[in-house]
Amino acid sequence: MKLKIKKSADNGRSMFSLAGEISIYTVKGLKKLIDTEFGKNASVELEMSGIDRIDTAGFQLLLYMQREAESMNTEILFRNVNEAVKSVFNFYRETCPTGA
Amino acid sequence: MTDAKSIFFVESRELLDTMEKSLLTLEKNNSDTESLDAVFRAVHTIKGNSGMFGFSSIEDFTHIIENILESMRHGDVPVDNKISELLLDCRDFIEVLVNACDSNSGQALDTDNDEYRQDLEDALMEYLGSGTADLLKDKTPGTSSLETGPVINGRDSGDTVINDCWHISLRPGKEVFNLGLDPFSFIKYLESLGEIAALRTIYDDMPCGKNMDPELCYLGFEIDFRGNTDRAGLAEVFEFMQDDCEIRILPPKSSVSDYVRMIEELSDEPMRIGEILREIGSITDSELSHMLEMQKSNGEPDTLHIGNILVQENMVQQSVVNAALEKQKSMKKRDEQNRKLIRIEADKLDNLINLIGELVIVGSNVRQLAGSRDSTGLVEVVENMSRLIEEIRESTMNVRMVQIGETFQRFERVVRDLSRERGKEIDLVIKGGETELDKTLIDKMSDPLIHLIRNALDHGIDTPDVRIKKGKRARGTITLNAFHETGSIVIEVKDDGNGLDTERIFQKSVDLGLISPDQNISDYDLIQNIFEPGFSTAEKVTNISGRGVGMDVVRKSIESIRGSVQLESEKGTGTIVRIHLPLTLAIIDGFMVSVADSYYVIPLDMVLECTEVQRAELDSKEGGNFLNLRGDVLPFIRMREFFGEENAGPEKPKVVVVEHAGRRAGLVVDDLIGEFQTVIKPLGRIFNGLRWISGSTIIGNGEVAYILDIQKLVQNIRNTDLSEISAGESARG
Repeated sequence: MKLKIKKSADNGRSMFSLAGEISIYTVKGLKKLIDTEFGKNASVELEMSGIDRIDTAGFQLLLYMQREAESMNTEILFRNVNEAVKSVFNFYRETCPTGA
Repeated sequence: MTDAKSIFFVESRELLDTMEKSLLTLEKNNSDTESLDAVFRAVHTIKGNSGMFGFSSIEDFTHIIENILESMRHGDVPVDNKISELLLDCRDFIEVLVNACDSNSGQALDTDNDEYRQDLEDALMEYLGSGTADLLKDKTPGTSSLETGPVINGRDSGDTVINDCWHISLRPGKEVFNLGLDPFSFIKYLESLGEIAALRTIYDDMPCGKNMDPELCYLGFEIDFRGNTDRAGLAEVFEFMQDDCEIRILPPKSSVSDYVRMIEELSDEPMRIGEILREIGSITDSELSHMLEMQKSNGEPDTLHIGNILVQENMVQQSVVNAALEKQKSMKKRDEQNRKLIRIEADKLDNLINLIGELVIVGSNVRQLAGSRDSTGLVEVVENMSRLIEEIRESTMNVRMVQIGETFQRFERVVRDLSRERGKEIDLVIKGGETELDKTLIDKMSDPLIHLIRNALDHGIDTPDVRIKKGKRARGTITLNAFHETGSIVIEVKDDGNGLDTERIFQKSVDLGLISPDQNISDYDLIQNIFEPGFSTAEKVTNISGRGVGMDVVRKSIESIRGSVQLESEKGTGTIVRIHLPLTLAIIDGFMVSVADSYYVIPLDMVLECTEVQRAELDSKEGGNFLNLRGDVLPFIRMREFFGEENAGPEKPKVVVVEHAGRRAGLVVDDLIGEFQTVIKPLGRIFNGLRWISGSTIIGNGEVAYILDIQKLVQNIRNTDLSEISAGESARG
């Protein structure tokens, strides 16, 4: 029930390495962190390979991040999205976020 | 509420009339889309209204019919006579339901009706595809009476959406995550029952930035589910979260209106959801446009605005919005038309007319009194007042005037049904439908007319093969015609059938003692005998006995409204029944005359002219009472003699020439008083036996004037003359 977040920055791009689960237990912290990045950096990158579970709250937060990023003119990239995330997005018939 | 309900019943009956009329038109011309639309509108309105008043029996039944009609409009169900016939039966059944609800017997119909209803519904369902009957009927969310599974036949059933899936709209409460409930697991569980054909996540309500609390749920889900389950089974899936979410379940092939209702309940932005439903395939383009139309007709504010936004955002095709707006326009137009009409209770109107009747009498009295005073100013004012009273009277009477065409139209169904039953082919031709007649008269004419039409159909017109043998067209014709004629309205019922058998009628008349066997009587006068009580030639009456109305009853009903009826018939060619009715019931323009000390009023529109004769000239007549009126023979009657006055009267009596039903006669009176507007007051019950007086009125000096029953007088004059002639002939013979 934990989410480990490791932050690094590179040329105006914030990078977050996520490990654990994005769920009702962790969404609050994650949102707080990411919210501060929007509008500040041109690009936010999330390393998703360490995510082993998301629930609907997590799914909602990822939808939120995509929408918010777009409205704040910030690029958001989800790297190495694994099956744990993909399956939920597929289930909800939403396009799974990916990164370049 | 009671008022509103009674309006519902009145309106429903009117709509049923429209429905019948349009269905009959549709039957004649299967491609008449206007009639089809009219039928649809009628059913749709009845359905909506009955739902509003909670008459679910009507609502459910009309719902199914509406679906069929929608399919017919889309061309999915071909329009043919078989379906029109079925729809006519359904229309009749709606009437039964409406009457049942109206008579406060609630919706309790006997089992016969239940069975009949089932038969009708089954027949309807054959058009919609089997097995959908129950599904169509059950559209109340939350009920679990539904036991049948969804039917997958991919047919577009009109008002119902094409989609054969259950539709589930799920709006979890904001707190579900915190309660440890994850919608994912519930929706996922659906997969164990069947297939999630489509799913769309709605997150439009999710706030931006800091306002978004990630621990609250802002999501909503629109799910199309295909599986062999029932409503209860689906409801069970979400049982654990049912207290914390809004859920709507629509069975497969629900109606578009159900979707509209669902959307309106669920969302502040109904059109967005509508669009989403279309995207995921729950509904089609046309269904969406139907929704738009419905929302507009529901009086949704700002609909135009929403439509524009939708187009700008490419959410809806312009054509869809245009179509919807077009429909909205035509609906508004109809509303406006409706607004020009006011419904008034007949009693209120009757009361007004009675009062105006009194006013007319008092007005006439004032006028007469003023005339006897030597005051020019007074006379002038009274004249003005009289003119105004007359205008008021005329406009008020006009309020009661109704075109007779509407009543005539109703007989189309009678003719159609009866001719089929009898294996005959008969057209009903309607002429003069725009002729206006007092509403009370029209109502009272309905039964006699039906009887006459039935007679023509039963006995007048033969089956096609017999007609062809007789060298006629296979299809017979019954013509209903209405027109004005000297102060009366004439209604003709004409058929091109066999005509009356004068020999049989002669024989029967002799048997009944109406005429003597050696009496010389014209065919015209002979056949009028069939209006006599007890008159029936056995062959003629068998089929219609059981209707409980004979020709004498027809005549009595017509006479009860101061009308008269005559027959004309030519053997082998056909029969015409001609009914003369007064223009109005209560108030007439009269022409007052005096005979001895009494005053009499003759309806002015029956008066042709007045002339003066020498008494000596009248007295010199021998054998018959005939005058030479500019070369024409005019039978006359001496009113003094007729009413048993003793004195001989003035030297130069006046003759009032009256006409009724094309026959003229002269009434010899003492003096002409002049025009007189009057209200007919019925005489008291003890005077019921008076034959020549149809009513009375009060004149200015307080005396009573009698209103002459010209129709009977004219008839009497003719009969007297004829008997005199025949008496003369037999004396000579």
